[in-house]
Amino acid sequence: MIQKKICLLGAFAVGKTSLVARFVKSIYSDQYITTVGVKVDKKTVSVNGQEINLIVWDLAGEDEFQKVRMSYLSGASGYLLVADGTRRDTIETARMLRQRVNEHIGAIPFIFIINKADLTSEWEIDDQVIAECEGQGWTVIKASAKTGEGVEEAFAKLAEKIYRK
Amino acid sequence: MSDSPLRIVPNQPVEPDDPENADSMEAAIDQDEMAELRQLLVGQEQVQLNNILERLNNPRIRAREMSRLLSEAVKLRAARDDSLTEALAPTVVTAFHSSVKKDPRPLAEAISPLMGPAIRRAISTALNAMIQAFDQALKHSFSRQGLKWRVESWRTGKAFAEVVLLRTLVYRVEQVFLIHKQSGLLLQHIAASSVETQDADIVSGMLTAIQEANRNFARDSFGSTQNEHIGTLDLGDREVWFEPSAQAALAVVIRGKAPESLRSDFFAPAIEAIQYEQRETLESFDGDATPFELSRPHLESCLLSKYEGKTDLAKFKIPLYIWLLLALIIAAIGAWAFFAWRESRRWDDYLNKLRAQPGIVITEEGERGGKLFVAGLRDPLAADPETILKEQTPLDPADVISRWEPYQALAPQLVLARAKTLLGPPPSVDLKFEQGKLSAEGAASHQWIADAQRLARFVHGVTEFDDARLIDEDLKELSNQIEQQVIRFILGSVQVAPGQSQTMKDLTDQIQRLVALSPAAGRVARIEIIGHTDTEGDENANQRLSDERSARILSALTAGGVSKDNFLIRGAASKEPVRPETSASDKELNRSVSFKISLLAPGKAASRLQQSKEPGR
Repeated sequence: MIQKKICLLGAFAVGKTSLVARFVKSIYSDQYITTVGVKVDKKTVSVNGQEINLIVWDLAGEDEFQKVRMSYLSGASGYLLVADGTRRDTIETARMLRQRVNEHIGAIPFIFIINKADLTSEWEIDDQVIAECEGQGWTVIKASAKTGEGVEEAFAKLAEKIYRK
Repeated sequence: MSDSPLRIVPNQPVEPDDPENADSMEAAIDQDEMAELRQLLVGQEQVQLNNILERLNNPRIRAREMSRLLSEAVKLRAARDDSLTEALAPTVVTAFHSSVKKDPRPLAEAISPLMGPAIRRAISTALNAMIQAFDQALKHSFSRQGLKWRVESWRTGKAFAEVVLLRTLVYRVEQVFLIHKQSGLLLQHIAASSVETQDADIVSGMLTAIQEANRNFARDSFGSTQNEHIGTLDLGDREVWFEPSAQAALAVVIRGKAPESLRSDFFAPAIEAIQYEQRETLESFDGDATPFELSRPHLESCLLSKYEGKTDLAKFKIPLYIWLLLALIIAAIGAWAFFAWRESRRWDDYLNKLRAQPGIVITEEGERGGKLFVAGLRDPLAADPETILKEQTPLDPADVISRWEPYQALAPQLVLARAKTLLGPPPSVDLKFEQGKLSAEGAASHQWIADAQRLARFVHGVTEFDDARLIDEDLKELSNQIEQQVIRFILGSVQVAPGQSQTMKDLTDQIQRLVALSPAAGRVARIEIIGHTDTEGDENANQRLSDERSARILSALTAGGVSKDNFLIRGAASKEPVRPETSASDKELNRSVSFKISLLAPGKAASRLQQSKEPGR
């Protein structure tokens, strides 16, 4: 079976880990992210009838004290860029992370996930911002770790992009 | 592709709609000029065009051209994407099926160089693991420590061999990961038998992440600029050894303490070989780990292990008490076998003795409830099996169960025995039995003979009773009495001497009784009346006189009521004197009539009668 390494990137506490928690095969506890900086999980998706094993590297979130280590992205075929719909600054962090990925790894396929779609009333991100992102050619998916909305779709879309590449 | 060949339509002269002659002529001239003009302008191209047309329309030429391009085209297409593979796959699979169905040998021959080594390797790996477990288990089965481990095995539910291996383990390579260095993706993974493994894909990623974290730590803490990697990851009872190459890395999971030399002797050579052999595949790796199946032999060469005092069966000694125990067991089995064999022989011997007995038929024999068992038919007059068992065999009667059904045997000995029981012959009678005939010989009372004649036919197996040689004691006695009687006559006369009337009366009675008793004993009594004279006078006259004397007594006896048929008369003159003549009283006694009795079987009596002189003739 074809395997692809993908990474989960985003600002601190945007819900990357919980976003995928119920959709992946996991043998390690979340503690690994805080100790090692990474937690590796596995998710099998199907693209055009072909099964692909996505080896998901969940990276520690970026904040003012800690930067995401770009070296973890080495060999990745794509990534999920995650922001929190209720925190406008996470969009900026996502943009910045994407910039850094482009510099270090190159323009590999990615999907932009705006998490916490179940809390739209508290959202600080409006449609205009989303439209801007889409205007830049990003694929934007609103998702919710709580309801599971959009998560499968995000993985499937990313796999598709990687496969098409 | 279209079915119809391509066709170039040459410019045809256009038929004018208007049929006017002048116009048509003009048009015809125009056409000719046009054709000429075209020939001048594109004549060359027209020839080329026709050539191309011919090539396109001729399938043979096209096939030839395509064959030149086919392999190149396949290569190009395969490099671009997988659609060619997908398109060909069903056809290839069908071709394989059809080839195997038609004749499996070519395909078998083609893959046998691959299958042989693979099967050999699999078998030898499995055998090695089994032998190792067996060796260790055998060695520790009887020791005190072995007992402790047995308890542990029972407590934990693990196999005893497994516990022994674990406890005597020095080190064992449990898993080997071949990892793509850059992405951390798993290229190949193998594990030793009975090792529990987690999802190797995830573990591979995590091991790479840990390496990466370590590198980051080295950079941040010590400003290391080198691409440091962890050599060994200590996990308590296990270690993970890393052995990198340019594009791949081995991660070897080892339980126990392995010598550092494994790294240089096995792991480094393995990863180097893989790197060398699969450099191109590693460089172009894009997530498809299938080509790395080829690296399995190298990974398997890393599955090493060592156990305490490992598997030297030659040096392994079984404790003395085990030998003694074994010897005891063998002796016990030997003794048991001997006694069982002896018992069986004695039993067979007993059965053969029974079979030899007339009147005993064995229908079933064997063992029942730990005892010997025999059942069958037995004539009540046959030998007693219990007696044979007690007196002729060393078997313990208590160990033998017998069950006999009574029956009457037709064996001659038993018919005879039965006849003896029923008839109860006196000691003077000898009974014999042969081919259905019971014969009695000797002397018996008149009563016994009469009973025997009646009862003999009730003896089972007897069809005929022969008493021809049986003598009736009562008749014999009577005969003797008669034969001792002498009736004297007056000298030279047929006149009975006086004073013999009582003798005559007794004689008549005796003869009457004899004649009456004879038939009951199956006899016919023949009384010969013999006339005698003394030696005086002419022998011819004496003859006549003796004839007349016997006839005289015959008529006296028949007058007394005895049938004439019972008598024979004969004159013996002086030739058979009753007593040799030595005195006058002897002479007197010889002037007499004497009697001779024959007790004949009825048939014989008739024939005797023919030979002798009948009375009254």
